[in-house]
Amino acid sequence: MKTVLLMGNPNVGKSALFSRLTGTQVVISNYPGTSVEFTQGSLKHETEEASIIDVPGTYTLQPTCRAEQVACDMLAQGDVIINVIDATNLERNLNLTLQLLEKQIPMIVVLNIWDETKHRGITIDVAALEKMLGVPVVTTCSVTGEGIHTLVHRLAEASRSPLLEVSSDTNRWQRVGEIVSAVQLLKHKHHGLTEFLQDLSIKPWSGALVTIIILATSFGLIRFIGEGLIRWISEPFFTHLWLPLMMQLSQHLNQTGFVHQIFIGKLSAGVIDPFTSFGIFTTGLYVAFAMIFPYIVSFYFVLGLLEDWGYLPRLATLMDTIMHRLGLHGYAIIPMLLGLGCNVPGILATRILESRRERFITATLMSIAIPCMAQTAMIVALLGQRGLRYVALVFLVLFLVWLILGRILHRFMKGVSPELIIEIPPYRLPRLRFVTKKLYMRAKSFVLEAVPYMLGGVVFVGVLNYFHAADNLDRWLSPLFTHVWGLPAETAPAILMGLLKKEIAVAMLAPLVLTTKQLTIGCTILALYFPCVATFFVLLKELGIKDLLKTLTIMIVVSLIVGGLMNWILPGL
Amino acid sequence: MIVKALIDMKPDESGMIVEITGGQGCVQQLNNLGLNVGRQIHKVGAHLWRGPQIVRIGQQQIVVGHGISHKILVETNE
Repeated sequence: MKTVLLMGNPNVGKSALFSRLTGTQVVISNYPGTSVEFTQGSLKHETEEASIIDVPGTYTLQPTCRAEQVACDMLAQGDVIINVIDATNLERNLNLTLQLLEKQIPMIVVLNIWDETKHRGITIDVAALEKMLGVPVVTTCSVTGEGIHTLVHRLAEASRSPLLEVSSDTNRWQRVGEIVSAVQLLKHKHHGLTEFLQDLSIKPWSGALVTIIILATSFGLIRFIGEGLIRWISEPFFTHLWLPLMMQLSQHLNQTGFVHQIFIGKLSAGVIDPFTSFGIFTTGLYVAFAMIFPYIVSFYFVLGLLEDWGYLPRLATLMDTIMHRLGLHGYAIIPMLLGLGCNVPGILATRILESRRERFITATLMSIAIPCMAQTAMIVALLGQRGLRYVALVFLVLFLVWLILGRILHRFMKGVSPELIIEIPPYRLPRLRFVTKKLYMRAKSFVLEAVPYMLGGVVFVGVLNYFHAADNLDRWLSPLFTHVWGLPAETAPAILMGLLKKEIAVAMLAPLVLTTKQLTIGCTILALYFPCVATFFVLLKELGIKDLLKTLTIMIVVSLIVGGLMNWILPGL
Repeated sequence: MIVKALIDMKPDESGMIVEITGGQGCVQQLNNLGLNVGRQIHKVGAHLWRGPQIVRIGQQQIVVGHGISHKILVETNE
């Protein structure tokens, strides 16, 4: 079976094309660096089957970051290359095309985003380009599927270019210039409304204003959709349908015993309290689906809109000034934003950053100061009952930790903060079909990858309670808790649970009688002090054991200090 | 004709890149995005407080950090 590599610059639509060719679902967005790992799928045409690999985007075969390294390493495995080009950006894309042709692997060139050339006043003579490159060239629009058939039909024609001499960087740009001036005709276009809006959102003053409006709208929308789903769908379903059913099951199980404990948990005053019973079917499903899932859906929906619209690189530009003070450049804001959904993809996305130092700072700041949506949903649900201002307080503290810790890491770690060099993609209208598809994939991976851990965590706590196994913990951890953080000793099991699953740990604070101050400190410490199991392993994979230990030490120190300070400074609430 | 660094260009000023004085990695990264000697660039604007610079090459908007913008020398008409 032949291996076909989809290669090209970042953000030219390789993943969308991949999804068209193979039917495999992959995350696609409108910003450079969406794919940092390769995905494999297969394509069957007539009798032949080929394995297709969606390679992360790269500008060059001399890699400058880890995602590009992945791309260059793949090259050895390819029998055929499909070089995907953004037709609206021919000149820049052709540089990589020439580098790929030099490798003498059979190749076919795809001019993608072809539909946009028309309204941008770009005409390309495809036949002439084919002649000048010496390999087949086809035009496609991967978003609508136009031209995909032709591509599949002509894939067998992929060939080595006979016209090429190996060249240096300067020669290559010269050659690109010759090709472009021979095949491309640009009709001069006036600065239109789109360009005006694009400039508006990236220039200093107007850009800052636009950012504030967009971020405020986004958070408002996330809360509106999340709360709406909870109030109108998940809450009614659980209270009126599911819990009565579980009450019957509970009676069926005689309301006691080990099996009852696992599935239903502990009853309070003879009824199920989904916050305190800690059985799989009660607290487990309730926390995962009634409280967290609605927020996962609303967060990823809004993020998907921002991604596909092309706003994120603009946000990166505006954040660059602040991020530089933390030893990072603006683009590091993108992994951080993804981390607000779930830290795991957030940490993987740090691969778009160039240096190891940057990746360490980003991953450390993320796993300490950026709570995932599951945790946020729980904090909002629990602390929000006492007043939204306390939720705001937790986030203010986390933001300050993010800033100050970043500043400290930048000050004391060797190395310099690298410079931002990015292209800003044009705004594109998000297509609802793609946004919902991406939302579906992310929601599915939440259900398949995060929910089992949550249910496991709930059972674990339930069983510990059943055997009174954690009772002694209170006693020997209590000095730390009471003296440093001002928390009662009963919070010890919850804080320990935070080692595994933070949102379950937050849920464990619910049945305890805590003052608002204690609850605020408890939520903050849980957010700060240790990554959940999944994040732990991805940190290990991306940073290695030595840096992971450093990160963990920083976390523990930070949570001790911050929790202590909050206990000391905050008035009794 | 005056040669000046990108940082010193005014918003809406255009010119041709004549030299990039950075190290090899920096030149490579700029080169990847098509910022190389001989290229016409147009400065869209700059962010305050040592912020990034926004330029346009053809129809493509590119953002470069403050530090690098000292190293891109551009020949302008003014």
